[in-house]
Amino acid sequence: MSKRRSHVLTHILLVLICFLIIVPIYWVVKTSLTGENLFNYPPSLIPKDPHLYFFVDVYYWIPFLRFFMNSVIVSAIVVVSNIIFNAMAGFALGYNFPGKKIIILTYLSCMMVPFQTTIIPAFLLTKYFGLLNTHLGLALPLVSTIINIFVFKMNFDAVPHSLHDAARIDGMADWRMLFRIYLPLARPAIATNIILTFVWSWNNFIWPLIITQDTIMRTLPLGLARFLSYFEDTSGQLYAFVIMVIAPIVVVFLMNQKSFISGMMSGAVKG
Amino acid sequence: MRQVIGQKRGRILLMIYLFLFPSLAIFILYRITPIIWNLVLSFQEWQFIGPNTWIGLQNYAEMIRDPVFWQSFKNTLFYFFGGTPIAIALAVLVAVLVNNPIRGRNAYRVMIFLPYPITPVAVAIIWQWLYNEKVGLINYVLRSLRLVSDPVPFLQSFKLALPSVIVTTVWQVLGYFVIIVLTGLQTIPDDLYESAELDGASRLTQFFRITLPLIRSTIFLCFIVGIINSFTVFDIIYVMTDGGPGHATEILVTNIYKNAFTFNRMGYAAAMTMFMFLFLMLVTWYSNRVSGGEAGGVSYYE
Amino acid sequence: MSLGRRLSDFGRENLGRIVFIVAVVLALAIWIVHVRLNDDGIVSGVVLNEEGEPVAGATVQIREQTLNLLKEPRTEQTDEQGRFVFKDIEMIEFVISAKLEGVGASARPRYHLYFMRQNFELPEPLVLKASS
Repeated sequence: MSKRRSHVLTHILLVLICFLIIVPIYWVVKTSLTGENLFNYPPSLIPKDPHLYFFVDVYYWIPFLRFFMNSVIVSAIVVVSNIIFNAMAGFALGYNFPGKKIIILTYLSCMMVPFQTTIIPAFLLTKYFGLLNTHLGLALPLVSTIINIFVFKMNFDAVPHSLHDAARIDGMADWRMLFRIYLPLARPAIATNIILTFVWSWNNFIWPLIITQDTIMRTLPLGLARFLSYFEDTSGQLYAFVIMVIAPIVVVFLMNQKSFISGMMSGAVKG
Repeated sequence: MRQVIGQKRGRILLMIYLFLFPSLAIFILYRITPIIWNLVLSFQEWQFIGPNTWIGLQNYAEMIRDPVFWQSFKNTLFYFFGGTPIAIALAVLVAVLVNNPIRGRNAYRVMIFLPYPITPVAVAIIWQWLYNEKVGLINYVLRSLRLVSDPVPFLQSFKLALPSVIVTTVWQVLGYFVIIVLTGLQTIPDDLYESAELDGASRLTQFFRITLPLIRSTIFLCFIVGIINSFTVFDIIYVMTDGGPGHATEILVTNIYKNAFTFNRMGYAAAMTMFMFLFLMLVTWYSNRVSGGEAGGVSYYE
Repeated sequence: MSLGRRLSDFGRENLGRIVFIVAVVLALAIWIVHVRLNDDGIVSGVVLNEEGEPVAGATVQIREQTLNLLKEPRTEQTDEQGRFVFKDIEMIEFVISAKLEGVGASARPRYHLYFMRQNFELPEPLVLKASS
């Protein structure tokens, strides 16, 4: 910075913008702690008598723990299988083999099919597999994502050939190289994979909406949406539930801001 | 590229195909097959329980005459044309601000990006309440500032429902666009600005003459992202208004969902899906041609 | 790189996150232990009259506060020291009151617990006031 510029205006504008962005979140947090402004008017701006009882209510009124575990299990399946399958595919794409062009074309064209256009057949498919209303059925469509395959491919392509050749001379089988050499060097790619797939599967709403039939198999976003119809329209518990649903992702985001932002920036291709 | 040579050539080839198999299988099952299935379904009438009857192009004929379908298509277009330009313009403004070498840059970036990973269902519920005409914060502010005298029923009014949903979307999506634009901004070398400064150009002139032209491709990318997502949004609308009031906020995806899973008209819903798919194909193909690269298929939230 | 060196590098980079996760897990563990130790479902308190003397033989009623208002209330009697004890209470939110013929009735305060079967001692005594 050779020149000293006055950035006061910049700061003021940015503070204003951040204020507007944060206000809805603050409002929800405040309501989940106090329950005011649900029925009284005018609303108060500072929380009075905060308490945690709404959160306790949510825990006991609905099978919250079960919903949470459903989300966790499905996300775990999705994240782990994504890393494995995408790394495998990205690694394989680093070779020259017959049919490579067709396969890449297939991947690229699949990238252009948004999930929402597949909901009817995907539902029927899941039904015929007998996977309706199961964790596996919830996870299956998300189990591999093309953008992440290319993320891995780009990462693996950057590994110098000498490593590969040396390992080959040492007699290491090619498939072992993926796990012994390439994956350990691919930490950013793995981080991107984890973040993208975790966010998609945790926030996924339309697919659980279509697939689950029993209340007990619902994931958190679905449980949240249905909470509205079970209990009154507005209640402190609803907003406590909102906080409980978004807390994990927000916490994960705040703990890994850099990887998160750069990860979601890798196109975030749907599928 | 690694070469498949040597004694173990067969083994390596086997490995390659095995490694490609799981992801390919998933995509064939859940992406390619559905397109064909949708196509076939769209020519049938199927109530889900019971036999499917072949009715040829009747679904499409009905679709063309269906006012709800056109309304949902119109709404989707409005959603895109109303939301994306505003979001991009705001994002450019914010990105330019954040790009300055100021302290707390990272904190600003984090706060602006924060709404993006939040579950869209939660966002819908939060904003639904902000828009509430009796106790919502927005009405309170408007009335305190004396901008309106009666409470405004944002989500219940035919005229205001869709713009309200658009505002919510912009709120969530702004951070994502800001980061895209920021990445583009950072490719502009500093000396361009410095020499412009030496030539006496004001900051505003610098912005319009240097910054904007050089981030054209970034902005274009944002538009593509925006249109793909305007067509695929579901969560926010379903939870906030469910297409209402009337069909004021009905978009293509909610319409398809309702026809398929509420009215059980699988064939008709499949026909609408085909329409949506072909339209998006057109857009992606066109954007690929214009940008001359792999700009296709980028989505901005979810 | 040796495993030890890699682990220590990892530790240094992620110190903040590790501390946070450990803190969360610890807090969770402490909470679970606390709940396990105090979940006998015992709700107890004392009933006094307007002069502040304990009232024996008063009827104390505890009724669950839920959306489903058809649940039956439970009752107990106070002993010579005016104390009452409910066991195996499985209510998260309840209304509690006391009365004794000839002496009066108490207010009907509402209490909300933090977990099911939480052992709870009424923070204030139920004071019987003669109805006027």
